[in-house]
Amino acid sequence: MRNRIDIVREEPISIAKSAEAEGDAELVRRAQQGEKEAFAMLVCRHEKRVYWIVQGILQNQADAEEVLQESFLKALKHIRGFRGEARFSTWLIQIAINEARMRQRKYRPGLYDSLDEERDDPSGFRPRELADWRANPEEAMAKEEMRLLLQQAIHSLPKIYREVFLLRDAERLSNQETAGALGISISATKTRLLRARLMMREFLAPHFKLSWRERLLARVKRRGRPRMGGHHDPL
Amino acid sequence: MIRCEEILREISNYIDQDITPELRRQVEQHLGGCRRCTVLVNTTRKTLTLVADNYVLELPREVAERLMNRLNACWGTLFIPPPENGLERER
Repeated sequence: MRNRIDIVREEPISIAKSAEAEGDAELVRRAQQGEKEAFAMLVCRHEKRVYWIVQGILQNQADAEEVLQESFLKALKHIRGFRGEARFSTWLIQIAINEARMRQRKYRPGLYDSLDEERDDPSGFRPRELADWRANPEEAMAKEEMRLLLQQAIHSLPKIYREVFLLRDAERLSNQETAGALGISISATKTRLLRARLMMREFLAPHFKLSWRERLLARVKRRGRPRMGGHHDPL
Repeated sequence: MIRCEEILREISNYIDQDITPELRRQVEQHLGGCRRCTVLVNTTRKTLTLVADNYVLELPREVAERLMNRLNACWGTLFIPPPENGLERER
């Protein structure tokens, strides 16, 4: 007899249709009854998200893949115990983050210790880049270049800010879901998010800020043409 | 009158529309007269738009395949099937 999970991979189009038609809650219910196909659909729906969250935290592809696998294995092991108090995705992300943190502690303690020492201190952050940006920053570079730049920017954040930013602004979880997944208060989530956003902005600013010529033109546009010696500039 | 430091503190909540109407009014009043804070708000907002529009990442196909293979291999040992009659066994 063919394995149902194998069937799912062989027929991606039919998965996409049925996965869209069914909510996670129904798929979880079916998976809890032992339907491999339902669990496979949950995997297909969330694997990308889980992978890029842990990749963002660990910044290492091999580690991220290991954690991705361990997270889904753990979800499979405990799926019958999942009672649906939180959304399945939040529960899964919580598992993945715990796995990622355990991996950091177990295999790479030295690498992450200094980043863990960052404290929630938004008052100490002063934006340096205060020049305005061009109206359409996306015109400044190609799509792939932009994607890499954003990855670099996210990776530049200290761990506690990176985690919050990935969940809130990259994966669009709510403050409450982010707080739940990270095991921190909503207040701490907001504080870290503020700092993370400002740091992201600071990292990206040099790539998108207006040139001196554009700034001058923008100023002229705002204030009107500058006067020379009390007379209107004839140009 | 709200000060620049307070704008810096509330910028994230303001963008998320997670502040009281009164504070929102004060923030907007400040922004009307402070170009530095306006630039700060606008560029932070653009940062988030860039991330929302461009941070769309794909899962490498081979990673997805290895994941499914591992789940297939472990299904029998990890998944605890429900009781045959659908009732939980009393412990």
